[in-house]
Amino acid sequence: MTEFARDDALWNTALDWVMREHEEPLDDKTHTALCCWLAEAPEHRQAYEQARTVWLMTGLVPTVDEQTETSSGDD
Amino acid sequence: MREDEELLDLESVFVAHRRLCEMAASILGDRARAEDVVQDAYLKIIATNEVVTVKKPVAYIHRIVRNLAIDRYRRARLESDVFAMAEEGGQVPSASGTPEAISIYCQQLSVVAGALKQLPERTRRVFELYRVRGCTQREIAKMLNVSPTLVNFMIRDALNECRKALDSSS
Repeated sequence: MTEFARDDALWNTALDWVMREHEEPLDDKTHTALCCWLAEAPEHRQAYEQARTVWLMTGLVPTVDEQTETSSGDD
Repeated sequence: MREDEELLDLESVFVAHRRLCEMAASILGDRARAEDVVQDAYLKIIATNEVVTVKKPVAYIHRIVRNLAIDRYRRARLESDVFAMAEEGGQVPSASGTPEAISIYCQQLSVVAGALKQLPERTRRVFELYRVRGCTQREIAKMLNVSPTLVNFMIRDALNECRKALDSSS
């Protein structure tokens, strides 16, 4: 696997975890599985941290109807 | 404005503050950490207003507190089990109130807001339904009359775009 493909695969796995956590609280068994995955390699932890940050940031942006359009169109 | 009206307004501010703390405490199970999250949310909301104008601040701040509390709860749960995570994470979340942290936050927020804005309208709608409204992928699929596979794809697409935007901005 190329480095790029590996990075992509890890990112996707990290996203799976973040989305799973969002959909329902992890039970103990699933939480342990996540911990095991994270403990396996620093790359896993980095990917998860990145996914967590992206996930959090997307939750902090005001939604379309929460924001006032300050400028029309993109510049 | 009459004095009693001012007092009334002030009181509603305190009530609102207490509600936010209670909500955060119910997620975190800890009053002190809840106060922390609410303070952090206040700083973030002020910073957010520099980037985009928030139209419904009350609903918005509830969501910010909730999301920050959930994030912190999950992180704390993992950190106690995978103890090494905290030391190598790169981002140091504990210093969230410093001017530097706030300026990084502003920058990241505007990048992510920009990336979401660039999404096709339907993708953005699907993502908001999932991320903010808490709809399940199945519910969204039914609502929009598309396949759950497509919904899953659009959610990932939105997150991928935000990641790309953040990567190329740092």
